[in-house]
Amino acid sequence: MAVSGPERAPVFKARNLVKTYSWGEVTVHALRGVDLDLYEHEIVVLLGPSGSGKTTLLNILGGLDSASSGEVFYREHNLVTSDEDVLTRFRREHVGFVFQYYNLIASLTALENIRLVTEISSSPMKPEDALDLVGMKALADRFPSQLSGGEQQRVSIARAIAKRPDILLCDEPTGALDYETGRKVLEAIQKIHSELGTLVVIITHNAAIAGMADRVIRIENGRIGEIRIQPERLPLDEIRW
Amino acid sequence: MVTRALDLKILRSLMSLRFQTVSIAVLVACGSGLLIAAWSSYDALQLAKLRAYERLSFGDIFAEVKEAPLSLESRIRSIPGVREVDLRLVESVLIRMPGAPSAQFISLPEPGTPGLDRVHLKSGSLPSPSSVPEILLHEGFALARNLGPGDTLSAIVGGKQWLFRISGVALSPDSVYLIGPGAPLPDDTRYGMAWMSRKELERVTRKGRTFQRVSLKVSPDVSNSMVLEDLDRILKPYGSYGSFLRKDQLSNRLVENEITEQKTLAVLFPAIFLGIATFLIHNTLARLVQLERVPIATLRALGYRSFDIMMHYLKLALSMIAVGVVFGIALGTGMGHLLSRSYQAFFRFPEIRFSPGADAILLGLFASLSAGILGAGSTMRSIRSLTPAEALRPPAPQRFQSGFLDRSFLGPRIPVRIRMVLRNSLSRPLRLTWNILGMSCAWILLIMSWSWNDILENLIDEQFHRLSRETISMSLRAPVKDSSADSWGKLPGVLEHETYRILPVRMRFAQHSKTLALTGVPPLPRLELPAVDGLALSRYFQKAWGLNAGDRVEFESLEDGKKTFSLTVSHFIRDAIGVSARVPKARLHSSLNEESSFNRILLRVTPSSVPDVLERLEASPLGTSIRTKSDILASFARTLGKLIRTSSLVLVVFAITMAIALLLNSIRISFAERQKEIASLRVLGLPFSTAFDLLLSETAIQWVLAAPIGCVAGNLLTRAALKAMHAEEYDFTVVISARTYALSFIILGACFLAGSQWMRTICRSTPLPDAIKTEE
Ligand SMILES: Nc1ncnc2c1ncn2[C@@H]1O[C@H](COP(=O)(O)OP(=O)(O)OP(=O)(O)O)[C@@H](O)[C@H]1O
Ligand SMILES: [Mg+2]
Repeated sequence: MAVSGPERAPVFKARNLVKTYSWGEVTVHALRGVDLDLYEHEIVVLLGPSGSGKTTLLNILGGLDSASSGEVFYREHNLVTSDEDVLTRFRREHVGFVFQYYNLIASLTALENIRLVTEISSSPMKPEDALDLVGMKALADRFPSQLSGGEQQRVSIARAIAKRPDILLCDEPTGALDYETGRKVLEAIQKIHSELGTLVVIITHNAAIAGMADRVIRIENGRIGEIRIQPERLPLDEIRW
Repeated sequence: MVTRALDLKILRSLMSLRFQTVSIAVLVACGSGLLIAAWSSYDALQLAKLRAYERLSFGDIFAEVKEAPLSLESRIRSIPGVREVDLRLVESVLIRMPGAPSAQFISLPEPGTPGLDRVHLKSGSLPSPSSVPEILLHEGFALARNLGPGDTLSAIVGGKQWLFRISGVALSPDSVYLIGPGAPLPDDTRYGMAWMSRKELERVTRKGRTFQRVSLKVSPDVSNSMVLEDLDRILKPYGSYGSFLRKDQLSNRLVENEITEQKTLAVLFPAIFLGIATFLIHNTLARLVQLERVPIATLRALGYRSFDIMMHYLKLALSMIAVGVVFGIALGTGMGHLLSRSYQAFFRFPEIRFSPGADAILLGLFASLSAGILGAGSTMRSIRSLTPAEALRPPAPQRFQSGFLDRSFLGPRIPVRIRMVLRNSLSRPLRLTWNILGMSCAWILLIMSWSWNDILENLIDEQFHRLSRETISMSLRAPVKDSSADSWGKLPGVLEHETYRILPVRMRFAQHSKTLALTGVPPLPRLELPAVDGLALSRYFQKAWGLNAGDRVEFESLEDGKKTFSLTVSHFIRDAIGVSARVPKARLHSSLNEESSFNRILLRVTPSSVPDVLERLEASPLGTSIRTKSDILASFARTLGKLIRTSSLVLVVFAITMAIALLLNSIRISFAERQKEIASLRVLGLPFSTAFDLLLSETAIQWVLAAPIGCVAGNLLTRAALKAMHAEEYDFTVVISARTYALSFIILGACFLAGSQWMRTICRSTPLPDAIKTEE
């Protein structure tokens, strides 16, 4: 069901997106004019050298950061002109984040970390079900310090998807994990995608992971490089690295 | 190993930790400043005292006698060990001035003899023979009444009014701290001293070649008690009031008390400030090392010894301290100057020369550095135990366990967000306690500083309103029959009058003895409380003399006749200032075998007729001292009241400074630790303010828990401090008003709000992606 194309309304529409950081005399161009459309139900993998602007782009799409100029539309909402309140609501209702380091709240158990989100969103799934989706139901009452890295990452994925987000943004979700654990995490992501139909964006340095994507987008020096469409996704057990 | 690169890092750390540096430096500056100020004014007082006593030949042994002939001199001189003798004529006089002040006129040593307890001339010249008798006036009275050389004053001496010319202004070692007989506090406007040539004084008093006061210098190798005994024996037939050592001389004793108090002050308050500085240094360093564990591990991996790294952080702590000490020295010098200047109003030394001594500064430095080392101590341990491998691993989440709250029936009902706050607070009980204790220090200091005002107000209320209700009091030259009181009681405007019999006595119990006034109290007194049904003594005697109710105490009358009698202690009373002994008036009369009489009368007068009544009383030849309560209150406000208010204000300023530094610092650190969590919550879609308040509540919990601890500890410490400061002179009730607690609450609340508001702006201005990226 790899579908893409101009006939469908994009979820995200970025036009001439620019992000600069400056301190004193120095100005860093993190994004130098990005044009990009992302569609419903697709899995997109962002590849690119370190410092090319992947994280910056993802953060802007997720409403964590604001662009310096240009436009980003989430459906019909312009994120660039939105204020903090609107962005907060946008994150709460529509976006799930997964980071390289899991960012779980250390003082809450796995289940409670998820309840933190389900308590504030409008139509969440049951926290237990979210844990079940990532195969973590048995460890629901453990604190983060009692979980392995991969387990923590799966809890953080469960937390990200418990609100039934429209978009799941993952920044190097397997970056800190070994092969086996990394694969379990990717399986969880894929499972969520197939059950909820969420738009998934994954940043990775691991070109092999690109196999699971509908589209692979290369970011180079703050611009979109090559976009590769993959009509057939590879099943995860055929992906090796 | 050369660690120049590390030293550079200290500067950078100081800059990036500038808030912590400033708050620690402020505390250290306050602590070391107070220490330096108190210690060097202690030095200054001590030095001024020693110099004055030395230069002006302050006596070693003193005695007072009703009236003895000068011819005794050779006998006194022949007491073994006596090296110098000075015999003075002393006369109490009433000065004709508004407020009817009284004074002691004392003869100067015979011309040509140096004498003891010499006067130090501040201005003008020594009296010389002239048609108008000349006097030297005590500096305190001269300043208070704005008198100087060339001015005249009239006084009633021996029932006759005389005019005196002031030839000069002077002071003496025996009147450094001048306080009227029976007066609870010094008051220069009400009580003075003057010196004149013996010849002139003999002429105006018509007392002939007699003396009332003995001052001796003895050689250090003789037993003082032998001299006291011999002296007493010689003076006994002439109405001796007893001999005593320098340490019991009133002025000297009060000076010594003040010096001791200065020492207490020099320890107590700096200790609190430096203690809190220690607390902040510990928190700051612990946080910093936590944050810099990767660089630390890297340095270790590069081959730096953990000792070098420990030294690095120690140097950082000491640099923060050093900044504070520099300001502390300046602050301490300034405050010390002010402090010693304020002493000059109480203590009439030829000079109080204040200079911040090297020892005071070294002490300040040493105490501050100790605080730094103490604060850095535990951090040093954690650096040593940090292995490179462990530190370079990605940070593991802090350990938590479900606690009793989760297991209780409440568990499932507690919302996740509250749970987070509670677990964070309870997971590290040691740290929680530590933080609460630190914050409670802010309360303690604030309450301690402010409580002085309460104590003062309570004292005024108790002493001047509840216990004494008269408008005017008058002491008489000698006891008169009770029936003569009516002539005063019937003066127009007098609402009520009451008579008392005051007997100067020497009171003895076991090895203790003390001269004081024994007050014969009328039954059911209304103007001066409390009523007594037997001998009632100040609580002081219970503690200091080990007296109990039922013990028998000996009294020796110091009036003519030298009667002795004994009374059984019935109970103890609390005297806020000074000590007292009270007995039913009838009992006193029967002990003395005398008719019912009085020598002190209290009057309650309608306000409008006070001036008329005063005029009539002053015209009476019987009165020696006439005082209105408003005068006493005013003089109290001028003296002790002002001192307490001023020092309380200074301390409050310090306490507020400290509270601000402490609270802001604590809030700063706890938010630095929580910043990442706030960011995580925001990523999940919690509004900034919700996420922030969630973590703010952790600090709020500590702050709220600190309040009761601080209030209780502040109360206890105030009591302890009062106890340490005075034994005999003061026995204040510690009442801390709701107002003090409320004010502390408001100030600390404001600090908290300001601190959290400030953190809010810092947190808000940190871009979310950056906050997520930061480790931990
Ligand atoms: N807060 C910031 N301040 C200044 N410059 C920044 C900031 N965040 C990112 N940059 C710069 O922007 C550029 C893009 O950074 P970004 O994090 O998007 O790269 P990335 O593609 O995610 O790299 P990596 O694969 O290493 O994570 C980099 O040159 C980086 O130095
Ligand atoms: Mg990145």
